[in-house]
Amino acid sequence: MGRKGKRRRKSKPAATVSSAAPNEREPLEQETVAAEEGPKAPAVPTPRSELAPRDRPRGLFGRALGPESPYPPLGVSMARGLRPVAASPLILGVTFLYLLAVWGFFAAAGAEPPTGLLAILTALPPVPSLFDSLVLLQETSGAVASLVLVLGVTIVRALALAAIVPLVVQAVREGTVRPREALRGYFRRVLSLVGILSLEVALALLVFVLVQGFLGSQLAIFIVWLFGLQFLGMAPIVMVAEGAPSADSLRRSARAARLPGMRHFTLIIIYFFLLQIVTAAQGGAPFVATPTIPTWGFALFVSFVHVAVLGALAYRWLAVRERIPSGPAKRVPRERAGR
Amino acid sequence: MLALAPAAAAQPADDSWPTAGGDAAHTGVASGPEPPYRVAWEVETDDDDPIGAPVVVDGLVIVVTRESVMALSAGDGSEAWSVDREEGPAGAAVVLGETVAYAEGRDDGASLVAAGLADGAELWSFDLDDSASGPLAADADTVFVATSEGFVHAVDVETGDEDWTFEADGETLGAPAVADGLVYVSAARPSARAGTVYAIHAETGEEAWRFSPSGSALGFSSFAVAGDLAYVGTGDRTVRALGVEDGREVWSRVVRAPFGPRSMPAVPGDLVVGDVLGGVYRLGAADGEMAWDFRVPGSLLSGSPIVAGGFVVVGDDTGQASAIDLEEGLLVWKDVFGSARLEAPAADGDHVYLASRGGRVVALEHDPDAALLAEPSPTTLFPAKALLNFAAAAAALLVLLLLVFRVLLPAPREEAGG
Repeated sequence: MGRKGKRRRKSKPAATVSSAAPNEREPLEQETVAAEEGPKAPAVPTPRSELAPRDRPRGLFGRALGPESPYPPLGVSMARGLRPVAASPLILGVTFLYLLAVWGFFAAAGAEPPTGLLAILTALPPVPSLFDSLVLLQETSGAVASLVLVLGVTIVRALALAAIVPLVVQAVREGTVRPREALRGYFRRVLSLVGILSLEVALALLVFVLVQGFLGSQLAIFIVWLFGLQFLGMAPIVMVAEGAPSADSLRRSARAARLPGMRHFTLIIIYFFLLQIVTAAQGGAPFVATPTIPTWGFALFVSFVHVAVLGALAYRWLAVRERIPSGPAKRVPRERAGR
Repeated sequence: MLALAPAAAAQPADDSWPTAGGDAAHTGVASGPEPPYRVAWEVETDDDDPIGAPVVVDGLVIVVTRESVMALSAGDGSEAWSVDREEGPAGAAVVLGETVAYAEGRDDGASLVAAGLADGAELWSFDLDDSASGPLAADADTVFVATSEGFVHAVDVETGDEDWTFEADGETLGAPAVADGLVYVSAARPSARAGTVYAIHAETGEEAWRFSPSGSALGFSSFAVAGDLAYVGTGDRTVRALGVEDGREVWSRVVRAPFGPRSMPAVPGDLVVGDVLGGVYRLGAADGEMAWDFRVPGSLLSGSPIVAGGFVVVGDDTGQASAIDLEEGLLVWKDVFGSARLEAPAADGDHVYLASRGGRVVALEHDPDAALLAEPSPTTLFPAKALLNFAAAAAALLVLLLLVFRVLLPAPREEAGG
């Protein structure tokens, strides 16, 4: 493992790096088969003590001044995420329709269409999990009605992401999109994504309620967004790329967030601040239920940015996937772990 | 008889608006003028902050600013008189016959002052326990003032003597309303997250009934009373109609946002109420059924809707004044008067008066040469238009992105080849 990391660090200059995508030798077709037959990662969890020392999770956010991060640099990740997404009419089209679908769900549900926050409707999970819950709980009276609506919008998101994430992963990995291959196992992915997104909704609401009491709702939202993106942001990618079940996807996403170095956190914090800027820019505008062309245009462009960041995360996951064990953590005696 | 006298006093003469909300019951209705409007006159006061809602009696517009009380001619805005006022929260004055009453000062230095309507000369002063929480109210011979300490004082307008004091559970909010021998006031205990509305006998100060809604203690409006029902907005985003006899809830209607404490519903037959997100709603007075809702750009924290000439007139905290057709819920007129918050308007048949926190007083009159608008509420969704806009924006962005990333900045060959 350590050798592989070194080899990547010695990779060619940026333009060439982009042609040497991680795991390029493993086409999505193989992954799809793996998804159907079970996760491709080792079936037996790797004990912590058997991981190379530099790959062991280090604290909540890795270790800032420790060994170099195994993740590719920010610029390379963004370039590798952005280009295939921006050059694919299919990915762009599905992403745009995703925005329309979520907006339409809010409008059809009788909740006031969140036109002022259109641009974050398609943000990476789990950002919308909290947003959906807060808006729908505010707009509806009755716990059952609210839960039904939250579940409804979660299903809409799962239907869209089950198409977008495999397309993005394939585009990042292979530089091209083959929809038939990418969308194989679509309905299974929808079910897994409903599981992931539902867990994220529950976690987001729980943390929000706990934190809101003493830090206020605004800070609680910040914390849910930042921690959620840091630890759970890769879960849909893990689910698609590895064919992992919901719980394992969340677990491996959290493990990936704890790899040494700050590169993952840097990408997340930049994206987090982008969300703040977008929210401030559009949230203060006068409310209009029927979005205008500029309103849609801004929201669609930001949706493109969301999916480009998804591409960057997918690229990064493919770069570190072999370092992240699957399955639950195995407890080992302290002496052994220290060796 | 006791019950009849205040009710008679609650109906203003057609050319007067003697208290915030138009009359003691806050029904907020004037015979005119109708929109569209144009500026008849405009006055900049010396104070640029804050200013209370105007009241109008006998051709005089009375405005309370931070450090003065001014009487302006309703005809041309010329100053009839002006007196100094001890600095404190500015709330609307109230006029009873030849007397104008206003609150001044803050905290334990606050007091209630009565002055002659003709010249502003002080008649008497009554010490208050704390700052007034909002505009004053009055029936035939008594001034009612609620203070931030949670007390409601009834003071005889002739002598300045206190008739009674009522202590509410918490801090009182907004302006008391008076109708049919009862004084209505809201109070809140934010620490306990509890709010209560009270009906108090105007004659004795004894509690007639109380009602404690669930939900947030913040976000109560002032009361308006008409017929057998008293209307109030409560912190749980709910407009409630309570029976005046016993305070039982007759109906409730959830709206989008809570209410400003100085905001009060208008009752031009149906109920018109505004919330802090700028939502204006017309609700059935008897059943709370929503006829329409409209959203103005700014908050209605203290900009209550009023009805003039059959049109809802409202000023918001962006400085925009709007007129909405009472029947259809369409915006028929709007104009912007600076960027400071507008207080609740007043109307006297000929003019609508606006006071802005920037220290500006504006009189509007009907403009026979202008045309009415017919703009739907921004809250109205037009699905077909939304889809067309979406399609246009998506197509343009798609073409742009593909042009940039496939034509101008194509991927290296080996990458594109996969």
